[in-house]
Amino acid sequence: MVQDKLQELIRSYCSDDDAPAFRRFYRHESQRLWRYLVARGATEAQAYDLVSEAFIRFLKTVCKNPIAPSAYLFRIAQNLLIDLQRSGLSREVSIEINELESKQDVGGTFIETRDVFVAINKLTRDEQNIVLLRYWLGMTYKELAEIIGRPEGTLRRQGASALRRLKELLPEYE
Amino acid sequence: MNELEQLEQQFSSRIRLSMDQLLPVPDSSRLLDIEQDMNLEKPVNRRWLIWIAVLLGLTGISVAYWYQSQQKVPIQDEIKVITPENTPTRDIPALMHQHLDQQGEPNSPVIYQQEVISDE
Repeated sequence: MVQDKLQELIRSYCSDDDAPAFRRFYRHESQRLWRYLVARGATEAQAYDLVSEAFIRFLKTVCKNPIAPSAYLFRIAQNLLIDLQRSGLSREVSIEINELESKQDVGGTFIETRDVFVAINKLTRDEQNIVLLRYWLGMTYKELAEIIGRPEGTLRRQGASALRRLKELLPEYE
Repeated sequence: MNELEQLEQQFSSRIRLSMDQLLPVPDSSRLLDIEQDMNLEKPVNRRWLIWIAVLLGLTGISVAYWYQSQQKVPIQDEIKVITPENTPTRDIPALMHQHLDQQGEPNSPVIYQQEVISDE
């Protein structure tokens, strides 16, 4: 499990001052975090600042309880983004796509990735968040509960609801 | 397989592909700059710092008291109790105590002397 390895890196940093372990964690998570922030509405420039600020805060506190470090990092970043969005400096539309049109072969079926992307964009902000964290970044519902601050059961129901909505929006991919 | 699992199976790879394909990718040199700016030295536990400061302070105070006590040179105050020549010797201690009660207890050891005034 990738998350177990990431947790081990942070434990190693916290217990043995293993700076290279922390750098490995950073290199793995910074790119995912940056893309997640862009998907959640930050501009690219804001996403760099938020990644920097989130990691600074993460460094200061993670060793107090180095369990589920990725979820903790994403929670910090999400709270920073919410503060930014409340200040009105971030765009409200959560996902912007570049002009790339492409098709991918999944199990022998060509699907229009852009259609999926647009369909995700039609979900509510909470649903988008769950879909991105769970199905794009591969986090567990337990980690989602840590990041979003809601019970796991509630998030499971919201996740199922989001997928049902995607199914309605993408009937051709049944 | 329940409904959620079926939906997950149906959409998870599509969602992943779609996001990977269409979201921008960060500039790795910018992320490297952020990495290099990070201070990876762990913050020192402040609670330990406070305890060390308290211990050092107490040690300093103790050493200062000890040093001061070593430097003290007893001052030999002299208290002269002037008594008439015909004062009986047995009364002199009582007179000295009476004098001390009036003057208060001195800080340093005191040498008591009797000076006898001659009538001549």
